[in-house]
Amino acid sequence: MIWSTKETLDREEIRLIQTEKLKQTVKYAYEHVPFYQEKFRMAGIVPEDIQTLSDLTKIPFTTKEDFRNHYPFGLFAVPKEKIVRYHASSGTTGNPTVVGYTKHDLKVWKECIARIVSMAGVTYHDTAQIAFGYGLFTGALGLHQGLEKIGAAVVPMSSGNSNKQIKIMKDWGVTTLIATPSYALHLSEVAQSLGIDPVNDLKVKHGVLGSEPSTEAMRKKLNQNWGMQAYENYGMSELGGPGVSGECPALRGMHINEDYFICEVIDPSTGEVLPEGEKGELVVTPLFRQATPVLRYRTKDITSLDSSPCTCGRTTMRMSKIAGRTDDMLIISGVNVFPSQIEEVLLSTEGIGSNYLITVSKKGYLDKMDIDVEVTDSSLLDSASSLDNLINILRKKLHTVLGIHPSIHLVEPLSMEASKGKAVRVIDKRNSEEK
Amino acid sequence: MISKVKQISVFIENKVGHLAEATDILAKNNINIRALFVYDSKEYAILRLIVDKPFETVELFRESGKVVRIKDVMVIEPIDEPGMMNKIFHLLAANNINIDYAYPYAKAGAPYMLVLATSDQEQAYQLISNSEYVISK
Ligand SMILES: [Zn+2]
Repeated sequence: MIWSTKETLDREEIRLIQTEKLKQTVKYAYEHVPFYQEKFRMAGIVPEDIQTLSDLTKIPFTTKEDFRNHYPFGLFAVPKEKIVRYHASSGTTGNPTVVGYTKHDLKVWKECIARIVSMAGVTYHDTAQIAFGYGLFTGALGLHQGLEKIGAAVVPMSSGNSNKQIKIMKDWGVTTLIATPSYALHLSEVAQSLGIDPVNDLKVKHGVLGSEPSTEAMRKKLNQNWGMQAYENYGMSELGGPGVSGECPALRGMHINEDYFICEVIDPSTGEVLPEGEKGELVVTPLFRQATPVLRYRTKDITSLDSSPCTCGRTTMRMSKIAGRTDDMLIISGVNVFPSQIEEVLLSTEGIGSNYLITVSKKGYLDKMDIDVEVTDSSLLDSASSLDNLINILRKKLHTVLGIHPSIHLVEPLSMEASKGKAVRVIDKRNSEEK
Repeated sequence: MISKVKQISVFIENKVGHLAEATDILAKNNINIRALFVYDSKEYAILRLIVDKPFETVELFRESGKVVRIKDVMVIEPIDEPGMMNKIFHLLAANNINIDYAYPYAKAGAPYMLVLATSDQEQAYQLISNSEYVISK
């Protein structure tokens, strides 16, 4: 169901709303945050220079480092009396990035989430279990309030304690699962290990998944394991949390809440705005935030935009599934390669495990890519030709997707987990080698 | 003589020490190897084993995280005459049975025994046991 009439406006009307709100947002940020005054002064512009949507490109970008350098409240536009909530992103290194919310900010956030869960088919008939971790992280409370707004029954489980998660799902008749894709997959495996078949023994029909990128192969697996339809949504704490965009039943990208966010796609190396349809780094300008206004935030996420009409009836622009992070992108002999593309191929191939290790090195002047893949299916051992076949299939599939020929190495399952840990999936030796 | 035995296949990376690591598991647990065959490519190896305690061996390999396969193969003792292997291979070929691999098997007092894995194990077993090419018990 379509929650708001704002999702079906004419494209021209959407642009008018965005233009008006952009002018206000720029003026507001400039007048309330010294950081933006300084940025504008350095760029030689004043708020009045921004009159149309195309003037947006005159504004300098804001980055995660800007948040860190102004920790904790340097980018805030309101005094503490106006703040009703704080959230922060988990900073693995250095300071976390802190965002604040006024009453108005929370109201808008709820509205954005209400639209996104409605897109995924969730209604007041549903019971939604939130298996995101609560706390400073925006995911859990963000979805929580939006689900309450549409009248769904919320089960605030938080993450972890998987056996209990399954018990409550079963006993309380949970129909909707809110989680990261990887945790949702883990939960389905836990259920199976408890002798519960999620497809027949549980009622979960909608999966509203987010906060980490995932592949189509992963979605297929989730749909199969749960007997549900998995929908993705997008957001990040610096932009106020989830609520930027979400998938509709057409599954042709995530509809952006355009009356609250302007999205651009840029070439990450030059900063130039790319034409619609081209892949690049997503840059987002939220259009409503009172507590922490942000102009042209560089997300480091790779996507492309599409404003063509969608079969669901919404007219809002769609962004494609996140293809990777600019941080993760590898350039192999001039070709852009994302580990997520490789993961997708591996996940859709039978007989191998989900761990992998990509090693990039130099052979003379040429880049060389090696991929270690775990053998898990023992029936491949009956003849050596099935193992050689597996290598050939992987080589062909990867060449089709990446345009380059990596070397495939079959390894024993535990070897990778034990020695290198699950988190390290790419090793780039090119800068550390001589020659 | 012809009999069915359990063969264990283990996937091993083709790196120094990996084979010894696998056989360590057998030595530590007092498991006796009757036959051993290593297929190796540039990248990996398949270790094929016939041991005195096959099910225990499979468990031990699994616990140590190895990919293991157990399957029935046959051990034959051909009559010790020239041309006997040739006759057995022709018998199988005439019945459209492919030999996947073969390797020697040792037993005190037997000059030559062979492990055979074929594309149709059941039929191959029947054909060979009904032939006059193997030593009768
Ligand atoms: Zn749609």
